[in-house]
Amino acid sequence: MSGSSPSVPRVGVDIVLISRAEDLVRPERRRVLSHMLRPEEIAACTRQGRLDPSAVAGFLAVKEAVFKLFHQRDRPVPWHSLRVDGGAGRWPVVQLDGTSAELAEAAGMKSEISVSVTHDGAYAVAVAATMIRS
Amino acid sequence: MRQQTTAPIDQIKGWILAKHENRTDVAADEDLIDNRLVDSLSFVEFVFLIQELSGVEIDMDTLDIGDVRTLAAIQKRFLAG
Repeated sequence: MSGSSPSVPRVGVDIVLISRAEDLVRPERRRVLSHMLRPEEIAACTRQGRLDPSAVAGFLAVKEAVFKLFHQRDRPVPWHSLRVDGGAGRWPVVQLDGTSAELAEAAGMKSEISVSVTHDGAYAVAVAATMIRS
Repeated sequence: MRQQTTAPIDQIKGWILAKHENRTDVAADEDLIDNRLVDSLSFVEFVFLIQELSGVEIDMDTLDIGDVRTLAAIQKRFLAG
């Protein structure tokens, strides 16, 4: 994802209600959550043996914000190929493989993705930014 | 004694309505995604439900959203026949 062609910035933003993550961390919903977060991401959202809904909401918001960079309307979020490395006190880092890498290529992404996530009250908000071939 | 069963498409409609208390119905051609009746966070559960009711395995990485965008499309693609 590099080259000398002109490029333009693109951003994606997403907001997740933490109450929705509270629903997803219930044991009976684990199948759904496991489809959205990889095992290492679930581990990163676990505090003292329990899934932290606020952290889960943050991870989901990051993935959705990154997905918006692809400008895809007819595809579902490729949750597992959008990998988020992060956790309490660490800047999140995103890596793409499989379907996500293909969508990034198709979108003309020519740089790494920068992400930022914040939590306040009932919400987690994430912003993702990258450069796109113009 | 006859047992009444709910048609799969009505179970899908019921799942949507349960999440949107302000709604009383969903039209067959109503766009579920654009009208935010199904959003990205509920999408995975939604597809699992279609999979369960239809018996068709759905690969979410290759799924064409158009196949699940309306109740009519779901009926045609996954529940017909």
